[in-house]
Amino acid sequence: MSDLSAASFRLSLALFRLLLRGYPGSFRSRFASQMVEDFRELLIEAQSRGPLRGRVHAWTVVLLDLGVSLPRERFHASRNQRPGQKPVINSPSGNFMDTTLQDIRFALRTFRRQPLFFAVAVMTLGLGIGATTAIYSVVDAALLKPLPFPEPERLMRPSLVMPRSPEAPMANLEVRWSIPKYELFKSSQNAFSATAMYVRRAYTLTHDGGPERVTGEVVESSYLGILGIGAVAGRGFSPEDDLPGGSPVVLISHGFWTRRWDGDPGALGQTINVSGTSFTVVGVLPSGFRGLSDRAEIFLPLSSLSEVDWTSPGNHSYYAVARLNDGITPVQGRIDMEAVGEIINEVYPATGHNSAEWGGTAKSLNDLRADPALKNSIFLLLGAVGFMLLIACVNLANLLLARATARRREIAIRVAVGSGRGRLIRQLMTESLLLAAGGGAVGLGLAFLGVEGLRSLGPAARGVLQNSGTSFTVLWLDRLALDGPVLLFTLAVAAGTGLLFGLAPALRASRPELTNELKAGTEWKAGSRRFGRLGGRGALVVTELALTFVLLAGSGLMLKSFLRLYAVDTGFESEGILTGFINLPSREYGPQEREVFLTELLDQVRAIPGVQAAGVNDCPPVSGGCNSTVIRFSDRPEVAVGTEPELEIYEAGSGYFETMGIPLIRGRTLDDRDRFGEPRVVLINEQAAKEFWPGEDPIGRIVRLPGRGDALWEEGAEVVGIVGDVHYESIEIEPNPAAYLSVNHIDRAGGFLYLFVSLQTDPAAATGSIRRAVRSIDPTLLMTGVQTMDELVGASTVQTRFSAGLLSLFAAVALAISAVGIFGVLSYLVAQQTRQIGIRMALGAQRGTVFRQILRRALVMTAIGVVLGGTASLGITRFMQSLLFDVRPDDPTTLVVIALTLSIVSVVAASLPAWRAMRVQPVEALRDG
Amino acid sequence: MVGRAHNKDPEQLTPLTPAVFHILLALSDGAMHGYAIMQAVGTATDPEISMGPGTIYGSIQRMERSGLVEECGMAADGKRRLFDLTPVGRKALEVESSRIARLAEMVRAKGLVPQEA
Repeated sequence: MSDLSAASFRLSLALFRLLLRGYPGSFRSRFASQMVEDFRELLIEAQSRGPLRGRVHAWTVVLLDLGVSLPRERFHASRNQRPGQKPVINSPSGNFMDTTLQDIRFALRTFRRQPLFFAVAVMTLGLGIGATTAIYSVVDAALLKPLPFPEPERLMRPSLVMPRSPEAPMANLEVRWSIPKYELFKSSQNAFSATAMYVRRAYTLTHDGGPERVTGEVVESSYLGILGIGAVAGRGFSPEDDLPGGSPVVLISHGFWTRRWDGDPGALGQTINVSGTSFTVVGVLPSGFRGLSDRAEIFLPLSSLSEVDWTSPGNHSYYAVARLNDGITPVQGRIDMEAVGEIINEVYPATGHNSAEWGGTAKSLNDLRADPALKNSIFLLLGAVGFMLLIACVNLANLLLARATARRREIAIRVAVGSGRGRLIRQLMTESLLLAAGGGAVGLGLAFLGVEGLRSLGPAARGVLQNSGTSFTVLWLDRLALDGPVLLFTLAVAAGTGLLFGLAPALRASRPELTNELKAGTEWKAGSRRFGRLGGRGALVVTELALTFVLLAGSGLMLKSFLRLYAVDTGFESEGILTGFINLPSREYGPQEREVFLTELLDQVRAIPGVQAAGVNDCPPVSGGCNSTVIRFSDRPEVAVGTEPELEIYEAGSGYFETMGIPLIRGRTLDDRDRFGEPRVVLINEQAAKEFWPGEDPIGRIVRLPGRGDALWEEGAEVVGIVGDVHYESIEIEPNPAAYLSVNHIDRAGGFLYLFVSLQTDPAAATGSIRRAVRSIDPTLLMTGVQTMDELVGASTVQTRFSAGLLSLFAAVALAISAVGIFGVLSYLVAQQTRQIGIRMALGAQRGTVFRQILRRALVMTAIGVVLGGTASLGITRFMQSLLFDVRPDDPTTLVVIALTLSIVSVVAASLPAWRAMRVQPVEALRDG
Repeated sequence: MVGRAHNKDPEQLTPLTPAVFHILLALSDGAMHGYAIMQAVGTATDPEISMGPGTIYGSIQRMERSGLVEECGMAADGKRRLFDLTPVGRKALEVESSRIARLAEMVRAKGLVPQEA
């Protein structure tokens, strides 16, 4: 048996012995030793089930047994009691309810006498329970509560798995469907009773009030049926609406209906102009439903897709959702999808990757609602609040112990007049449970505020969460509420904490040594058990300190991650820069029209007072990255298709690098020379220079970009400049090799471009002028998503910031509670030993020695707490790995800083009691004794 | 303290509760200590619904008062008390067993359970 196992064995036995004290005395004196022997045998025998499972089994057996036999034995014992021994508190006519009410009244009277104790206890618990409840409501909404669709467990998202090959590092990445592959999937699958394709798109609605940007979804007619959503007015889509050439119809969300038509049923049959085409409104969807993208205000049928979408097997743009057939499990659904993947691979063999194969998979929709990083953060926070609650419980147990000591006389008197031990425990437990109920009530209030706060973050959080990671849907934000399951959780937590902090003190307090207590008068004689008593309370403080250490470690690591993130050189200046995007419709804007528009726009914007520079790019930094393509080198031997190196590709305009403060390393940036029809040029970043031309000069080399689907790019373009690396993906991820092309050299029509403006003045004031400039050139255009680069950078660190902030708050509260704990225990110690200290001083002990001795106690407790907490946190923080940035979970600096912080706090908390001890006047201490 | 035997008529003690019956049944093999009774009862019945020590000793204490069992000394390890059937206990077990056997016959005769092969 290992040391740890042996220790837990002993702990189990000790705990069991403690529980046996609940049995009546006569029963205990005869059978307790037998039962301990039995439990020991049970533990040893259960070892064969494995160390942990064995313990759990043995405990389950005895706890179930205890729950039945303990009340029974007490009942029999009370029946067999002789009349003279009958507890006087139990009035002959007293039934359960009467006794309980009596207990409650008595407890409330006690609290009224000690309002400070009551307030501290209830607030401490309230903080712990409130924070736990608030975070649990997030867990419930985000991870537990089923999606708001009928039989949500039968909903799955089938998807393709990217071609896997040794050369493809993104292996097993899920990818969306192209329509031809989706059609093949639909006809070859057996697991689902229905499937639907959908995609989120952005549209410009034009009406009297000017253009408006809305999010919509293009959905197959089966989509609403699968989700169990029906139109509240009008109709849904029919299969005819899926076919190319179908009539242009649109479904609208309830919100859109209310906003635009004030809920008027006359909206049906009206037309709306969606990105240049008129669509007839045929149905209104239920309130709260915004599609699986959680953002859609309008829903268009598949017939609105263009010819190219239908025929291109390589256009992977569409999500699928499917409902499982009766009797098919999600696992079977996934296995069926794997078979479908093989069929797809046969019909559409993957190109460009050696020995690569398409695969298929399906995931349960319930599991997909929060991305893994978010899940981790949520669990981390739940763990943290759990620790905080535990610390609060330990502290309260300590307070109750101290109080029990102060009430020894009261209890002794009650025992002397015949109050049974069970009756006393019941009375004390009533007090604990009342405190827990008070704490629970305060906690609910705090949790309510917390949940409201989180909900008010909703719109901002929705954007951030959806732009992060796998970005499927965050349908749960609206459903964040203190509802049934959460309230049940709070109730369980409150009751559990009441038992946890109340039981040990109640058992201890109800076992007074009668003669001693009564004889000693008001002053308790320092008996031989003094150290034992402090030992118990000391152990509680050590536990508190260890728990606090773990919390501090977690928050320290998150804070350090955050600081590291903050210190990363993103490669651009974010201060004073405003950005927004403009969608140029491909119908009106061919490459030349686009160039004219951009030249005009940049000229106008640069003329706005306060504007220093302006430029465009097709991708904003730190926002998840955009496109990449393969690169070939004209002056090097050809490599096999599929093995070419890749690089990120950006389409920028003149002025972009100057606006963003991206440094030019060599050569030139894009400027007015780079017009449509002029020779094509390429800028590369430093990373690309380092990787593709190590030790050489890239300037003047010809590179070919065959993946652009454009003959001229395939022919080649000259590298004319090297610029600094920029973090496009995220702050955490190091920049990849990248190339910039001039947007004027792009043959494709239309464009989705970000305008970047560097300002000297207040960005908010300039927004209006910039918007007006856009509309003065083309009134149908709209600049949307306007924000400062600082906001964008802030949004990309929001998750880390949020976790670090909350964790620090929890850790600070825990630290404060622990400090109170140390203070309380040492104050108690000093009060108990006043007389002893007085004697020692009378015998010549120095004040400094007394002071140091008290501090030493605090430091010994802290040292044990730090060692235990440090060991525990090394084990626990490992699970935080994925949330940390550039910090190891066992970061020694963080751990040392925390150990120091904890030591300083305990010394400060101990110094007041120590100072008091030092001020003890020997004469007075002896006289009072 | 050893429970005083009341020397009741075994007929009056039946029907026995399941706990009492199983403990008597276990002890019919000879004297045992509490843990051995626990194990014997556990193997005889569903192992997942075994009786814990509190239930065993509580039952034994009351069975002693009724005169069904008695403490008969210490086990070889010197730590464990041994318990055995009293004549009354053995008689009660027999009475109860034949009652159950009669019940079993009735149940079989009604065809409620398959006949034994």
